Amino acid sequence: MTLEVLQWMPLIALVLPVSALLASCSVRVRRVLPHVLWLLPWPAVVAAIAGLNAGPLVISWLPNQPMFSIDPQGALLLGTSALLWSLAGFSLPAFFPTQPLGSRFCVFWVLTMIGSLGVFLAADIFSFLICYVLVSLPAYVLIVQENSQATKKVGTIYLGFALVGEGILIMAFVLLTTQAPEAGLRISELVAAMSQNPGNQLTIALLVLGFGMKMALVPLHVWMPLTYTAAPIPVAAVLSGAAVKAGLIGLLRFLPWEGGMEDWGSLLVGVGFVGAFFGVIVGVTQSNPKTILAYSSVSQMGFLAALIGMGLINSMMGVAVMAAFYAAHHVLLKGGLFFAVGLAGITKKYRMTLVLLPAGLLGLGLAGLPLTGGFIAKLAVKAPFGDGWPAVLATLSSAGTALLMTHFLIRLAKAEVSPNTSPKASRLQISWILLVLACVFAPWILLVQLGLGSLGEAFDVATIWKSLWPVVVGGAIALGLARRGRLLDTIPCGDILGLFNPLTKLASVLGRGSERTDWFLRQWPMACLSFLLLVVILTIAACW
Amino acid sequence: MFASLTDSGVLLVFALVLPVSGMLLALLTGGRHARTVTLLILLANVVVVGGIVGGIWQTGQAVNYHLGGWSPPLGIELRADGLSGAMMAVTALVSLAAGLYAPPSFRFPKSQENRESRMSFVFWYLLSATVAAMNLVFLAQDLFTLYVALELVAFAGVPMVALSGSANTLLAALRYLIFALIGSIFYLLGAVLLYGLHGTLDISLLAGLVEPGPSLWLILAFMTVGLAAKTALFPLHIWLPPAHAGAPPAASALLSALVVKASFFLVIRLWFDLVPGLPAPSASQVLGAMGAGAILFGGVLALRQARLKLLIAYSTIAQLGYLFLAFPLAFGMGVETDGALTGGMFQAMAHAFAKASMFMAAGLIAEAIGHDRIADLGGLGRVLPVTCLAFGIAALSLIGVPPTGGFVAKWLLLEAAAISGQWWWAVLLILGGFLAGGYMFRVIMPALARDVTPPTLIAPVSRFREAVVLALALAALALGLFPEAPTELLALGRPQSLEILSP
Repeated sequence: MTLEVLQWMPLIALVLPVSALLASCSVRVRRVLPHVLWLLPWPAVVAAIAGLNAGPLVISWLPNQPMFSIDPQGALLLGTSALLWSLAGFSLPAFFPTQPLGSRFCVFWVLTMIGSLGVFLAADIFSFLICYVLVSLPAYVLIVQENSQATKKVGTIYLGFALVGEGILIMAFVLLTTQAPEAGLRISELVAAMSQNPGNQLTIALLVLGFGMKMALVPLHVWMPLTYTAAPIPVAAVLSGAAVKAGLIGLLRFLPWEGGMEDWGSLLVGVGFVGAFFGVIVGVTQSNPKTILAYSSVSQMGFLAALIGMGLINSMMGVAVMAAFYAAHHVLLKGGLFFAVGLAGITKKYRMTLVLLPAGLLGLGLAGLPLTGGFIAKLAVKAPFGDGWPAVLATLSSAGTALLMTHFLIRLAKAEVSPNTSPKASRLQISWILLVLACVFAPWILLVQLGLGSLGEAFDVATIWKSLWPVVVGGAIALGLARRGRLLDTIPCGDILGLFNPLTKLASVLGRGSERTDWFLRQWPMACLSFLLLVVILTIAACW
Repeated sequence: MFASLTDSGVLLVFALVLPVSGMLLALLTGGRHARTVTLLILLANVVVVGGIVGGIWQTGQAVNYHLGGWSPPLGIELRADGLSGAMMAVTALVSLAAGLYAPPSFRFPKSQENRESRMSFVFWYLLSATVAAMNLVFLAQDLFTLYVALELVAFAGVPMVALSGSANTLLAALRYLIFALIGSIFYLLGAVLLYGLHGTLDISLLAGLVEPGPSLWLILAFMTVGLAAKTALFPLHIWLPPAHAGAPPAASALLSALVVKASFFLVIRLWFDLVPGLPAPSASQVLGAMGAGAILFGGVLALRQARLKLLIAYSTIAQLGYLFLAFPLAFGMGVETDGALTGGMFQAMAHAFAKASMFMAAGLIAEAIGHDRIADLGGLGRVLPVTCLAFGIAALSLIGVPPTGGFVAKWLLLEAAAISGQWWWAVLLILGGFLAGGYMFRVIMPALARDVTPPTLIAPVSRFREAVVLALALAALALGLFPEAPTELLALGRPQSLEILSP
């Protein structure tokens, strides 16, 4: 391929979903949409493969116009996310056997997909912001598929978090542009300008807060277990696999890697490890496999935050690609595990091993089971943690992951099988097999391609042993816990949600107070008085 | 250059004569043809305003016209700078949309016995009157002509509230009238005092004469408070919810989108054109505080409404609050930031489109399902998809979600807050967005709900009216997708500091 064609790759990636969205104004297209959902993300996969080794490909027309680019970290996440979106789209009919997919569901699916893929490509803040909105807000419709009071409440919480995160990020972006008016709108230039600015602490704080909400860093994680539990399985798969990575790519793109970020790095390491263990501890007490997976996401995102923090402390630019590599594996893996939950629901008991074995391979792979994809992912991110206590914590978190994943497998084996199997189950099985294969093998190929590690290191006995024992220990603890079973359901899903109760009480007090004030102002004497009072106040203020 | 200026200068006169002649023609033709006449006039108005905006855009300067060839101290000057041009364009488009949307609600009675056709005539008459009055507000340059224009706006607005003639709407209209009257008196008092002190009413001449001092501040305070009452700024907002919620949807759209902006526009004229060199930081903070009250108070009350139209009306109160944040952001710290004025005006434009769309959508909903109780809107998206889409886009603009016009307005205001270091207004802007998100999603969430039996349609919905509503919402979206041109237009032909500050 010539460079000319390559330059267009960032746009080609989005061309199908966007044109499908525009075309779905027509009813006829909307009717076809459910059948082609799986096709739409494929250009993005191609673009990602093209962009992986081609260096940053940038496309823009004019200054201050939308800009899109592909760099290695973006390409990693873009390719895997697109793959997950495609497979999830392919398997959708298996999950809704009784009624056909609504066209509205499909439109919002495409909207979320555009946002999810677009954030990895956006190179200017406005494109990024728009994609970020798309990956957050339309997902509400996908989540609230069940018409129950509980689901509605979860949807409201999800939207609340999304809007608050959005507002925080907008403020951060405003600060970014006003602090460096000459830097234009390009993210890379704005970030470079910010790292030179001494007054950037507030900006960074807002960025970490905003993206941290999307990544569900503890204590901003409440929405995640609730949402993934309430959402249909394919939706939970794409949200937990692809959509959360919008927060990650935000951190990777907007934090300055050149140095001077030691304090923020330490904070991220602290928050990250707290989250990594918090997710495990709460996760083990859950009985619903989907909830367990959600808490595993909380834990994994914490681990990623800690990884980024280590990179910031040591100003290692390479950590961005490592984090993206680790996260790319997580995209496929989390999607695969959610598919396993779906499959377990429609598989007969005697064939359950066919689901449990690969799921075990994936799950324990996340903990670093040797020679799986997860083992490679862990290998690639080993260096930033050094040899001191962060490395110890990282190893412990692997054991935690093994513990949580074994717990997940146990719960999965006990999952209830629905009496009527789905006629389209084969679609789910095909997607599932492809995802498992991708999970196990893709990291090997990518590791060599990106030069993040060598195969010799992967086959080293010492490395294998170092990675194996946390898995064994974690698994053993989980089996021990399962035998007692006393912990189960001791912590409600959404753990610290109760802390928000005073807020709702405050809101109702404020609301009633406002209504009373409105009534008070409505009285004529008061209304006339306010005219005069305002004149007096304005005059006095002006003379001040 | 002179020739081209006078060419567009004549257009300014047309912008006034056209809607007025529309009123006269409607009188002549009577209720049967009032609709046709008015729609033609509104269409012509769009063309004329297009010509004026084109003139401003091409020359990069304000377009002006001296009536009878007499220049200001003696004669009356009409002048359209970027602000006027932009507002006139919004007025022309929104009024045309209202005119296209309205016919089914104001049909001329066909039956022989029932010859009562007040509504079918008066609405069209008032529509032309509103456009004429609004255009005069945007074009006039002296305080007395502006006073007349303000009165015309009120005279067109008050009967629109009471169009249906029910007791409730009459009460609401009366309350509105009294507030408008007190406001007018306050404004007139200020204008008379200024004339007494300086012997002229022309704004640009006055700008060179006024000197800071308690008397000027008192005058300005009277005028500002008077105008704020007409704009329904907190705490003088109490007339607005019953008035805007009670009017027929097309009228509500006009009232909420345009009429309240007229008096706001005058406050802008006063603060930015009459006393631009004499900033009063603390006074502008007071105005900002009133705006803040509006945003919080309006938002919280909108959250607690049970009826859709009342919710939208309270949201208007909140959205009007943002307009007044332009003052502290522009003058608050003694440094003038040009983004604040642009942001405020952008908010006025984006809100006009979004709110007009929203009120009309609410009208369609109420007609189609026979009520507007928010609690019973579940599944609405399935029976009225286009209307709900329009409502949703308009709501996103009001919340300030990118890439809508409301987002650009908030971005500009936030930028001004960051540059002038007034973080408290930034916090308020973000908070206001959350509140707006809260009350808007109260409507959107049930509308999107699945597995709910949707409300039964008691009347079919006209595709054309839905298209009008959607077009307005898309206009609010377009402002956000292509913000450069309107932003540039707003800054054209501004006399002072704004151009000095911009790079």
